[in-house]
Amino acid sequence: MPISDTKPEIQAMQDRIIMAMTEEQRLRLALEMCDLSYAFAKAGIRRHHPDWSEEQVHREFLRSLFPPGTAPSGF
Amino acid sequence: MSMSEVLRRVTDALHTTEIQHMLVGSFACSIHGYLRSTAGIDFVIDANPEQLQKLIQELKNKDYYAQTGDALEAWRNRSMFNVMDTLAGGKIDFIFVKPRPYSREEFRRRRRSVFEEISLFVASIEDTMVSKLEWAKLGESARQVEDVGRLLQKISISGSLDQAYIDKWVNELGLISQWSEAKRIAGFE
Repeated sequence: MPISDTKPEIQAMQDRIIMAMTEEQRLRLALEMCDLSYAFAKAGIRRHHPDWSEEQVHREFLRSLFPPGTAPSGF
Repeated sequence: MSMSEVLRRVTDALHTTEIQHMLVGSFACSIHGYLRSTAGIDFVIDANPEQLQKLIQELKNKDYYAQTGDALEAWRNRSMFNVMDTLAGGKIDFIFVKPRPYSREEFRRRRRSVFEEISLFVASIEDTMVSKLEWAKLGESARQVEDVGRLLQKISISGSLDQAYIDKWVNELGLISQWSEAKRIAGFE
């Protein structure tokens, strides 16, 4: 078994909870996780560039969603 | 704007343009039981140039960054193109279904699902696994094999899997080592 940061009984409990959800609930949770990761990413950019405007932060965040060097012009 | 709203708007645009679609990748993985964080939404689509032009216009009307030239070039190459919801920051990858037996079968086996009263099609769990194994073979990411291993663990809890179907395509697509590694991660080997 691979190394895990979660006790087996806790993992089993989480698995039971997730598998008891409907597909729609699981999709919603995944989308909310995505929202959260975006919020963290923006917070990180703000921390590194405290002088930037919200627009600059958002623009940098959009650029960060593309692999390096692949963002379309305008981002 | 939330990613839920992004998914709704994009799915709406796909329905409006009558483009056949299939949600794949990490969100499909999450639907099947392994919650996986990701930076974007991936759809496999089957569309003609006229539908693509309508899709891009639909998305531009919703303030998306979307380029007709990118979409048509991807259509010619049977590759992929990106669009971006510039408000939410949601990146959506549209991947053209490949003209090969496995991809056609994968597309045929997609399942209808419902999200906030919008119907959308999702890759089956078996095809979510096979596709991730193939991405791993292409060198995309070791994380893909881990995703398959984690999905296998979830299925052992509550679901069933068409093992013969997976074995068939693992063999035909040359994914035996990736499949073995996924089973090892799941604790099955």
